[in-house]
Amino acid sequence: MSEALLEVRGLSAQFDGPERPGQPVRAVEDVHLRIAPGETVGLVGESGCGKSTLAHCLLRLVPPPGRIVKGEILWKGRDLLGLSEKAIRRIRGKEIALIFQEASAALNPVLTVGQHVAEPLRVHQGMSRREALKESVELLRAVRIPDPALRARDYPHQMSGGMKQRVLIAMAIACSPDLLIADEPTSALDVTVQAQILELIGHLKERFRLAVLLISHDLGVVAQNADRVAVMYAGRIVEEAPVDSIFRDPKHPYTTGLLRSLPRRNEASGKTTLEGIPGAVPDLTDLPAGCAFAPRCRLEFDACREAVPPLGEVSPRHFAACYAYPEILSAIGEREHRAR
Amino acid sequence: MSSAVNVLEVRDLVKRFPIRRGVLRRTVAQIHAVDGVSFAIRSGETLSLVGESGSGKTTTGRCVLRLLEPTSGEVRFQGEDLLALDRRSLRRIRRKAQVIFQDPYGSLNPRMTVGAIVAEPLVIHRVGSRRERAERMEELLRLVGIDPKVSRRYPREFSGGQRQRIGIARALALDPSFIVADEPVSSLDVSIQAQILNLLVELQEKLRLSYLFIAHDLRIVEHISDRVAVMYLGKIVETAPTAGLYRTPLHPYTQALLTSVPEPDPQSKKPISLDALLRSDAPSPSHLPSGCRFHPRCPVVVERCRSEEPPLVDVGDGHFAACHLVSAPGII
Repeated sequence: MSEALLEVRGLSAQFDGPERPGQPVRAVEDVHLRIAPGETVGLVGESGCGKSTLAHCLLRLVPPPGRIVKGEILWKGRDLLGLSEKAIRRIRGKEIALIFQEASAALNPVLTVGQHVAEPLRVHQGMSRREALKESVELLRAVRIPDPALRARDYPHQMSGGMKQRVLIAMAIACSPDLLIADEPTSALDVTVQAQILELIGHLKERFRLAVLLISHDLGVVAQNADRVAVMYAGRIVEEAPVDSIFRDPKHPYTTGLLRSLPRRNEASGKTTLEGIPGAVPDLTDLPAGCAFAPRCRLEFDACREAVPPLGEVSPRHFAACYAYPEILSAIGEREHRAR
Repeated sequence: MSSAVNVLEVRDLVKRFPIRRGVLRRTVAQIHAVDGVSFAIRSGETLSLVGESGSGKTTTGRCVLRLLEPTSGEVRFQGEDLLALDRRSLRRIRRKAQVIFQDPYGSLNPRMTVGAIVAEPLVIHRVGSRRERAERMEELLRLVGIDPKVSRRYPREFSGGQRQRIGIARALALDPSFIVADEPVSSLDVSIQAQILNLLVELQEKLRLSYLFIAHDLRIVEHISDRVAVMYLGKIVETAPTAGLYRTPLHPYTQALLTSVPEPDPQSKKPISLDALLRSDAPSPSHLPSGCRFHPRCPVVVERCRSEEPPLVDVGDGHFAACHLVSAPGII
């Protein structure tokens, strides 16, 4: 396997819930993830599964009372968790950039669009005001904003949601980062605008050989844009595989359930019953002892209630955390044996 | 059209919102939220209104129930002209026409128990005795898949999907025949969306309900609708039976919309670039373009589109489209 750009090992993050002291919200639990240069990894899961917290962990931006309690985040071989605040700032925005859902919230209403894009160039590349503004027009052109020289003088409120998201992308790619973390980048946008933004990200990826961590709740968005997909449930990655293999042959019952929840296009009769998944996501302060998905799972058996199934390779390059696969069951057996 | 089969008939519905400025609050401009919309819904049918933000689909849904007063037009519910009714008669109609909202968090009163929320319409409309109302409330909760034992709990103790079930139970309390469902699943996770969609379909069959389903998610719309109307900047640009619309979309906007939906299948990558299908972003409903309102974004725009507004024309099999290239292909 090629050298990883980013390698996350055993990462856990918690929030101390104010209402229940001593019972932390385990937002991210023992997550392993690698991203190779130029690769797009899709991270999917429903609300509250920990995908955004994971993204914030990668940049050490978890807001208190949240904190990283365990693990390593290796960026080009260096552990980000061991770096000083000053050192991490040199990486944040320069080598790893982040865009998220609310473009409007991320832009300062009293700065022009050009000033926004110029900012990272001045901070990280030491450009002069004038140089940076000139370069910002080029970046606005790169994200396909029409009349970039003119629009650079606009304020955020003069732009539509899609245009604002383009500005955020221009800011993110300003210092030619190696990794772009895109946290639900299109979820607030209309579907036609979404398609244009995703096409833009795909194009920039090729042009700048950018690796992307694409976080989305939309399985369609991930299917169309990711090379590899990781599925999160209740803070853990429960399945990870190349995109074709996860959509053609999902291994974890949660992934299967998610795919079956989607209405299919060109159904013969419109009013077929969707399978869905019974029940609702568990409370992260009070997770069941074993597999967090067990209470909603149709395959569930004894082992599931006892210990959390580890993520293991159940077919080539396809990882799942489910006792339905003998590999996973035997892995647990060996671990217990060793412990004895 | 006979009103015996149509639950709802809407003709030339218009809703404008004034933009007021200055000390005198003079009207300086109008937002044309709904600009001449006509459609009908048959008994037991689901008609979906789809479109992006600002298309006027939600405003249409509210005007149809007179939750918003339309500027002009005609709304006939089971043959009666809703816009001509006084408040008392309107109340009588409201028992038969209900609404389900998008936000299962904001639409339930946090200080009322779930049982009280579901029974509230019965209290307001003075239906039955206290005891009959309690029985009906329990029956309604069971109908939407919630154990009546939890009727003393408060909304915050329920998940999003369960709250939406409670909202549905409340809408069904007065035994309506028609429901406006405004984005009923768009704030829910996929696995929960499926549960609620199944419930809506099941209730429709059981209670012979007609739905005006308002949504932006085209996959969900295809699944749930008998017919679909596509709205763009306050107008219906295309309407057809669901299969016909998805198989052969005629309006360039519908085509772009359908192409934009990302398929949950990595094998079906879109061959065409969307930039070729759509130009720029949607204009504001306060500054409508001349002629066809889609022309500034249309990839196949011709001269006529800039000056002349295309009418919605019948192309057969219940399929209507408002595009010069469809209605008069020879001329262009």
